[in-house]
Formats: sequence, structure tokens, C-alpha cells
Amino acid sequence: MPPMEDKDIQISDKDIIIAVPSILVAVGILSLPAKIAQETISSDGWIPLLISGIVMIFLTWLVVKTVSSFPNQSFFTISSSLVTKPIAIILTLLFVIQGILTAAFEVREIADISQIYLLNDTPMEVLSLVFLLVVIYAVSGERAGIFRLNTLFLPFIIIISLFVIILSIGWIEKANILPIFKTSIGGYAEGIKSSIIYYGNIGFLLFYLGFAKQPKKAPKMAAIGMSFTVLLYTLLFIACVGVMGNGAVSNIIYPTLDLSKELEIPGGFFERFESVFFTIWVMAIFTTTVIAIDITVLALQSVFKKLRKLNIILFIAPTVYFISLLPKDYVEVSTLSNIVTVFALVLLFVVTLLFTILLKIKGVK
Amino acid sequence: MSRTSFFNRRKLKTNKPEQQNQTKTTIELGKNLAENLKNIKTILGEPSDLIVRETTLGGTDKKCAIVYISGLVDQDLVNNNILKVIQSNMNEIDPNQIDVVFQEKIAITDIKKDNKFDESIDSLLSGSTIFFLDETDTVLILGTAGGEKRSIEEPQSEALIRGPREGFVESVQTNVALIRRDIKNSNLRFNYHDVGNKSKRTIVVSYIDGIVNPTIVQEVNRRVKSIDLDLVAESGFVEQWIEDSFLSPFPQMINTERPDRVASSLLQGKVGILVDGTPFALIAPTTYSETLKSLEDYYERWIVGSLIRILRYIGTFLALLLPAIYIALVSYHQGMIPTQLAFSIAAAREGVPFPSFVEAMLMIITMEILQEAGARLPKNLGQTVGIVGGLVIGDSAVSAGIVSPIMVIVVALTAISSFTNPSYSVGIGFRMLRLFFMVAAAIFGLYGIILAYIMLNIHVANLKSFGIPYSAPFAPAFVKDWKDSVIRAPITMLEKRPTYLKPEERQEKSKNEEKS
Amino acid sequence: MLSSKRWLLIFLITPIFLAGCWGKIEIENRGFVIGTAIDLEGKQGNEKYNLLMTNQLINPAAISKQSSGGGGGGNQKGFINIQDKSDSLFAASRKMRHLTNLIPYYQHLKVILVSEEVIKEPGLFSDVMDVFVRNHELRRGVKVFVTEGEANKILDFVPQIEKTPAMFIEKLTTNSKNAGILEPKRVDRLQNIFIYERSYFIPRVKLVNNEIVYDDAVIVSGENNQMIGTLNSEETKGLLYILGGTKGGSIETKFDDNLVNVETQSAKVKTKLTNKDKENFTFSLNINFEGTIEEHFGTKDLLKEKSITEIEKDLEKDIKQLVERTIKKVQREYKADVIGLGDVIREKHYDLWKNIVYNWDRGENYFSKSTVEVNVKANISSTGAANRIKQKGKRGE
Repeated sequence: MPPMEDKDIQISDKDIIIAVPSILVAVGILSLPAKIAQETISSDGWIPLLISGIVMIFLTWLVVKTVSSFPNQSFFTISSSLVTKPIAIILTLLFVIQGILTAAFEVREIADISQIYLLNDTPMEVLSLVFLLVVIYAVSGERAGIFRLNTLFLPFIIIISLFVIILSIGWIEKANILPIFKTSIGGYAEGIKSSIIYYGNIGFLLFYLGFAKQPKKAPKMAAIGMSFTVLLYTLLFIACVGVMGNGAVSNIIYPTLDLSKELEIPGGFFERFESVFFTIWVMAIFTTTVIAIDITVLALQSVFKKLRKLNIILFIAPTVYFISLLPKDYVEVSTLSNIVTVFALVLLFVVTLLFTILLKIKGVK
Repeated sequence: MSRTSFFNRRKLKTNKPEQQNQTKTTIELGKNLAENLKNIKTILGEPSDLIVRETTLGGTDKKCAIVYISGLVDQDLVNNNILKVIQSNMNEIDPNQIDVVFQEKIAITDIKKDNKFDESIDSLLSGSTIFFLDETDTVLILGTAGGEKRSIEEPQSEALIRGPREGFVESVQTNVALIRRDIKNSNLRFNYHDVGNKSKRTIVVSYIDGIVNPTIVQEVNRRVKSIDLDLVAESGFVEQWIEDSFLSPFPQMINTERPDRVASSLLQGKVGILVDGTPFALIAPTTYSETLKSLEDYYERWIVGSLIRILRYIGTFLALLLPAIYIALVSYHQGMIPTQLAFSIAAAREGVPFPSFVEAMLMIITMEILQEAGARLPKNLGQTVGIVGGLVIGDSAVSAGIVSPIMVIVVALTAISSFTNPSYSVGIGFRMLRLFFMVAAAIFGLYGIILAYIMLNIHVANLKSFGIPYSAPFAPAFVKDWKDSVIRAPITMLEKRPTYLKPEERQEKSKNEEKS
Repeated sequence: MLSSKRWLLIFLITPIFLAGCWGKIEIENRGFVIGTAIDLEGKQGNEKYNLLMTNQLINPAAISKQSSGGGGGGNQKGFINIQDKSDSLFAASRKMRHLTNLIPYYQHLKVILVSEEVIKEPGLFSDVMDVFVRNHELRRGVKVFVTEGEANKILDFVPQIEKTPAMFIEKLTTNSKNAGILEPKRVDRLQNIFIYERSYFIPRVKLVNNEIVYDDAVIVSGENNQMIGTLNSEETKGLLYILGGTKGGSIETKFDDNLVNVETQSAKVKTKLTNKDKENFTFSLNINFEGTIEEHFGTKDLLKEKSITEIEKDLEKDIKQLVERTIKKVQREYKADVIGLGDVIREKHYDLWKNIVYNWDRGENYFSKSTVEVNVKANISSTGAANRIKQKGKRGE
């Protein structure tokens, strides 16, 4: 590979593994334990979390395999050849909507949470604006740079999560973990329903597969990345419930942050660990938002070939900002979150079904 | 994006040849000796250090002359190996045959025939002696460059406790020789470029053929050729002309005074750029992790080397973020400070009239002034300034109640940490970034710091040095290179060349193994 | 392209100038609240209480100055107490802003003291705690104590070594795990307790002869968060052995009519449900005690197997007595399960638990009807560095 060419980027296997948690891990996990704890008894929530995770790992593997059987082609060209051009345009535009909504949601949440945990008196509008500007700065760089950013930030996210998980081991109480397997089938179903939507954004990955250096390996890599994410979610959930108890977790808005609030760092170098945790977590939210906007740009460019990247960004950014300001309170933000995640999941299911079936019918070329 | 436009602008500049040749004479070499000599004198403005020795070819009445500029030549060489030979008996030789004189008589190895006037003047100015023979339009350019030179000394800017004591000097020939001495390999290549509109400077691009990635060499050569400056006074000009991004606070090439550093970089598959007239050589491409390496990491045992490297990363972290974190914690997140410490900071700050940001700015700027003042002064005075500034000002500022004692600790720790960076130019970059982080912390606290940190990472992720991502080997991840990044694995494990440079030949030790 | 990048740069920089420094409050302007006391001032009609909130603010200058040198602020008190009344704590704390030039700051809050009067009102305690769990400013590890008498009186107590009473109590109880005293309740644990409506105990602090005493606890019913009684210091000790995991407390016994003092190294507890009959649950509570002899007044040879066994026997008897007394009290008198027997059923026999949960320590109160068989196994692991310091008959040699 000559190092001088950076026009057409290429994504290595490692990049795909890293991209998956970068896409998925964001604000969702901060409130996820509460949503699942509400549906399950004591620590049983890990079961629906794991089941939905495995379902999504399989789904990801399937859709990535389908898409990567068209090596080095963009999502738009693949879908055009599979489901005719008009439907391809609709699908791509749906992803554009998903990208904008996801970005708006993340921007809104980061402002809300940092207002709660870091800066109580700074207006939410300013916090989100500053964050969005940094995101724009990243998106306006080259696409390979975004993958490099993912690689740079993921270790921080892993280390801080592991830190929280390991520290909480000492705080876990038996009474919070036991009894196990006592949730009813209905409870599990509800749990799966509320946990599976946290994986919906993985559909973004489909757009990057066209750049994959080794498309054959891509399904495996995506599955590895997914397994990592599922594992992280499950461990964080167990830590939350084990330390704080199901009753408290299901009634806290951001249990993962409160988990880090519980922990005291040995040595007492920093107090209020949740501020440190959230500060680092900004990186995770950042990568998700960057990818969401980048996908929007990519999707729009694949449909409207003449548009310049910067112009698209200048159009998208105010839209994202505007949408992020729409919800008036936390309840409305939750509604937005539900809309975004369900939308993403349904879109992913539709694309997977369409592509897999049509590929079977038409056969691989 | 910006880089291509930057190059476009540069290309425009190089497309103006009429400017370059303005000073070049149109005078041709004549057959008449006296006329040639007169021409030389008028072109150079009859300087007093231009020595014209007219004589006759030994034993014959054939007129000839040697011309040189005193001070630029090795006087002994001219007297013994040129003048003596010319004046000695030359009866049996046909005096018209300049070739014979050229080939058989003059006892100098670097000898060249020429018939262009401007070229001979160029070489005259770089220390050659010119031999004129009457009734011939060809001259001999004799390489007699010499004169006063600094001897090889220990490098001032990069002192090592353990390691070779020799450093580069101002003469590029000596420097090339120093590298050759370190790498005795037939594949070692030196590409010479003469650069500069008003004054020529030799720039040597060195690499090892078969190891280096050829595209990098091509790119370096292309960029060096594009230099359009009147005078390349120092390698800094070269660096700034050929770097990828001039907006970046990070240097995209390493400068070094140490031949061993250049040699080891060449063996890794990098390119060295030597500039005549300066002891500072450039190494390209470089990455961020590369700037935090010192040769001593390799000379010491690996545990020591690794620990020192980790220490340097911590030092960089402190130098960059400590004042910002202090501001964020004291102005916004007092809850994060351990309770007892929070109380003592609160007590110490009672009576300090400024907010922590102003307080920190005051001290940081004072520190920068002290550093700058110390650097420009003679060594002995510099130390005095350091003591007076650091101790006296710091202490009295505290007792006058302008700053809190904890702020002094923070600033002092920051300043010391920034010196752990082995590269001075990287250190300066971090000093600028520190201010940026402080402003971010003053406005948004920790949120500002993390966003500033993300911005810094975005910049680094988009930055390239000669096509190599600046964030390599961390991102893109070259896992095999990690054993020589934050830690320095045992030397026996470092047998492979860094893969991020995509060298042609991976195995560093293969040649040695073949020999043994 | 370059110009558009420049535009972006300007875009990025401008908000910095737009932004002021919202909410920037320098550390010296913060009034660090490290202790809060809540007292009941009286009822206003029905269901409306008048609460007195006392905040202890530290005086950083007095706290961090070394006492050496004598002059200057040596005699300054390390704290200031401010108080205000209102029907809710949040309102009271907001009113308090007018009382000091400093802005009250709760992130370093260490202890919450609640007077018995508050807990005796049904449901008031959990209402009072709401603000401390809800507010993000607070740590979740804030310790909650009950006080005998007025809570704000304790905040007036000037301790000898520490500069502030709140810090004193905080430090007094930090090492509770190694001192054989009850571990304080953290405010975040209370949330889970309230939600599951469990009965619980809260350690109590009281002022006795101008000393802070921390050795007993109050029992609170899970049904309405109302205090139903206290455990005295002996009963509290028994509670420690039931809960297990205690370390460092000492227990006295007699050996050959001489006093032997044994320090607890560990006490592991295993509880099993042996009879699942609703009307007569039977639990077997096995305590595995391990200790070291720290003090012995007699002259007998302690290194003999026989003497050790004898001491162990005595210990087992003593501990059993202690534990049974506590169990009897909570079972028969208070009828509130603060010793975690319900958890045993819940963890191991969840289906059974679901049937009886509303009649466990309320309603039918199966808890009070159940039997607890206590088995103690004591083990002396060390007799210290010396066998004895007095020996009979040695002089004759």
C-alpha cells in the first residue's frame, strides 16, 4: 500500500471491530440498566440483555455478510441493484433521517447530562452547541481520520468501563444479585424489547463496508465488535444491580453514572468519580455522533453525487441542533430516544430482510 | 485538503525562473587569461580576500593562474599540492593540454573540468580553487574547500547521560561522513540538492535503499526541490517549507544534532535531511509517539527505558493539562477535590484577588518569560535568572497574596514536566496548547477540557507527516509496533522494523544473520 | 477549500467569546456544608411538619492553619452552624442562602443527623431523605445517623482533635469495620430499603457527658418508616455477630475465674431455612467465630489444648447468649426483621417469599413466629506474643 494516497480510504479488519462499539456505546448505556431493571427481578436483567445481544450479533453478521458480498460498492449501489433505484433512494434517505435524529438525540443528551453532572448553571443550548461544533470539526476532516479517532478513543472507554466494573466487584452485595431466574417469561420478553433497541444503530456500519479492505472478513469482525459491546453492556448492568440493588437502579435515571458515583477510588486522588467517568464518556458519545453525521453525509452524497461535503455539513448541523432543542424536558427527550432507537431498529430489520431474501432470490453475482 | 492547495501555491512560485537567474552572468569563458581574471574580479567586486596567483607553468612560458578565496580554502593544500606542482618542471608536457595537467599532475582527488563561467564562480564561492590556463577556455575546479571549521563536539541541545558524545557540525560533508561512519552499508544513499536563489546551500537527503519506502523518498525529494527561498539559513527553513501542515502546533519532522539518532532512524526506514551550515538534521516522517522517544531509552536497559518513557507520557499529560485541571476543579468542580484538600485550597485562596484562571495565567506567563529570558542569556546568567525568577518571584507573589501557594506548585510542576519532553520543538507546541486548554477550562470546566482534548485528537488524527498518519502506531493500530511505543520492549524483541512506515524490508536483523 | 476551513475555525472560536463563565464560583466563595442536622420543630396542623435544618459550614482558614505559632486565628472555631425552619428541607436550604455570604455547597457533605423525633413520625424519615437521594450535588455515600435528643446539639459539640463535629463523626465511623461497631447507613442504601419496604436499623449517636457516644441503634419499621425502638449497646453487639463480617470488637469471657479478653478476627455467618412451614419458620444461624486472646488476667498455661478449648466453649456460650438476646428483642418486642432473615427466604426460596412477603414482618408477622437456632463455633487462632506474664511455682525453681 503506498502511504501517500488518502483519497479513497480503506478500512482494515481492526477498524471494523473498533467501529462497532464506537457506533453503539454512547448515552444509551447510561440509562439502559434502569430500563431493564424495571422489567426484571433482581439481577435477571442480564438474561434479556444477553439474548437480545446474541440476536443482534446474528443479525449484524447476516446483514454484513449480505452487504459485503458486494465488495467495494457503496450501500446505495448495492441496494439499487437489489431493490431497484427508487427504493434504494428511500432506504438511503431513511438512514439520513436516522443519522440526523441520532445525532440530535446524542447532542441533546450530552448537554442535559453535563448540565446535571458537570456544569449546573451553563445553559443547555450552549453546551450542545459547543459539542456540535467539535463534532463538525471532526466530520469535516477526512473520513480515515474518523476511524483513527475511534481507535484513539476506544481504549479510554474500555479502560474507564473496566475500572468501574472492577471497582464495583468489591461493592456487590449478595442480596442484590439473588435470587436468579425468577423473572416471568413476560418480564424477559419486555426486557428483550427494551434492550434490543440499544443495538439498532449498528445499521450505520453498512455504509462503511464499501471501504473494507477485506470484505470477506467483515461479518466476523462486525460480530466480534458486537460481542464486545454486548459483553460491556451486560457487565455494566450486573455491576449496577449488584451494587445498588434492583429497586434503586430501576428508579435512577442514569444508573451507570450513579454506579460510578458510588465508587470511591482507592487512594482518594479524585472524589466524585462520576464526573471523571462522564468526562471520559463524552468521547464515546462523541464518536457515535460523529459517525451518525458522517453517515448522513455519506448517504446524501451517494444519492446526490454533486453535493460537496462541506455544504452538506453546513445544512445538516443546524438541523441537528434545531431538533436537539425541540424536547422541552426529560420526558420528551425519552420520547425522542424511543423514536430514534425504534426507528433505527425497524430500519435495520427491514434492510436485513429485504437484502437477505432478495440476494437469495437473485443469487450472488 | 489544505495540503494540496498549499502545494499548488508553492508550484506557482517555482514557475518563475527569470527571478532566479537575475544575478547569473552571461559572460562566457574566454581564451584570454587576463580577460578571464578581470571578469572574475569585476563580478565579485574586487574583494580583498580574492587571491589571484599568476604564474607560469613550470619551466615553460605558458601563463596560468590559480584563483581562490582565502579563508574558504585549505591553504596548505593550495600551496603544496597545486602551486608547487604547477611551478615544478613541466617541460616534457604539452602545455596546451589541460587534460594532462588535470589528470597527471595536480595532487588533488576532487578535480573537475569546466567551461562555464557562472558554475566556476559558484564553486569558487564554496571554497574551490580555480585553475586558469592561458589560451584555453576550460578551467579546472579543484576541491580545496577547507578553512576554519568547528570540531566535532558533544551536542548542546541533546545531552545524553549515556551514548556517543559526537554531534553534527556545520559542514555537511563532515555530517555525511559521520552518518557513513555509523552505517557501513553499501545501500546508504545520499541525494544532493543545491537549493537557494541568492545563495546555494547543499541539502542532502539520505536514506537506505531497500529499507525505506521509496514513495517517502520521492516525496521528500520532490518537496526539497520545490524550495524557493533566497537563502536556506538553517534546517528550520527546510522544515517549514516541506512540512505537511503549517497550522499544526506539532512539528512533523524531528530535528536532531546526533548522528546516532539519524543513523538509527535511517535503519528504521526513515529519511534524513542534512543541511549545510547547520548542525541540525531533520528526520522524516515522524509520528507523535516518535517525538517522545529518546535514544537513551534504547541505550539503557529496557525496564529503565520503558519506565522513563511512561514518565515522559505522564510529564506530557501534566504539562498539557495540569493548569487546566486546576482551573476546572477550583472554579467549577470543587466537589471532585478530596475534602481536606478542598478546604486547604479554599483557605489558601482566601484573600487572592483574582479568579483562578487569571491567577494561573499570571503565573504561566511569568514562567514563560523566565524561560525565554533564561534561554537567551549566557549560561551563568541564565541560572541566576532562573533562581531569582523562580524562587524570589514565586515566594514573594505568595506572601504578597497575589497567588496562592498551590498555584505556584501547579505552575512549577507544569514547567518542569514540560522539560521531560526530549524534543524542544514539541515542548513549545505543548506550551501553546496548554493556554488553549486553560481557556477551555475557564469557560466550560472539565467539559471544556475534554472537548479541547477531543479537538486536539481530531487534529492529530488528520495530521500526516509525509503520508504517515501522525497518530501511528496507535491509530491506525499497528499492534506490532506497540512494543516500541509507550513501553520499550527488550532489544531482542525489537528485531522487526516499525510496520507503520511500510518499509520494503521488514526484518531488521536479516542482514546480520546472513553474515554470521 | 482553505477558506471554508477558515470559516469553520472562526465558527469554532466565536462561541468561546459569546460564552461568559456561567456558574463559575471560585472555591473560596463556596460554603462547604459537611454536616446537616434535621430536627422536628412541631406539627402545623395535620400532615404538615415544621422542620429545622441545621447546616454545618466549615471555616477553611481556621481548619487548615497549623495550630503552631499561637497568634492569629488559633482560637477560631473551625465551623459555623446556620439553621432555618421550613416545611421542606429544600426550602429551608434555599432560605439559608441569606444567612451567609458563602454559597452553600453540598458536594462535600459527610453526615446527615436526624433526630429521633423525626423518625418517630410515620413516613417522615423517608420523605426527608428524598432530597438527599434526588439531588445530584450529593454524594451517594453520605452517612445517616439518628441522634438521641436534638440533632443540632451534636453539631455544636467541639471535638478535641478534629476541628468540626461532622468530620469527627465521619472519622469515628469510617473505621467501623475494624472497631467492632456498626457500619453507618449510607444514604444510597436507604433508597433500595425504602423501595422494598424492608425494616432496618440506623446507628445512633448521642451526647453523654459532653462526649459523643456511638454504640447503639434504632429499629425502624419498613411498613411506614417509623421508629419502633432501640437496641442498646449489648444488643447492637449481638446484631454485629448476626450480620457477620464484623472485625475488631472485643468480647470478654471468664477462664478459671480470671478475665480473658478476645478480639474478633472474623465472624462468618451462614443462615439456612430449615423449616418452610409458614407458621413456624425455622432458621439455623451458624456463626463461625475466630478470635485472638488479647488480655488474660490469670496464670494458667494458655498454650495447652485444654485451656483453649475451655475458653472457646465459654466464648461460644457468651456469643450465643448475646445473639439470642438481640434476636429475641427484634422478634418478640419489635417484630421487625432487621437481621436479614427475610432475605434468606427471598434469595433461596423466592416463590415462598412471594407468598409471604406482605405478611413477613407485618400483617400475620411470620417473622415473629419463626424460630432461630443459633449455633456458634468459636476458634482461638492466637494467644498473642506471650503465653502468660505470671506463672505459679516458677519462683521455686
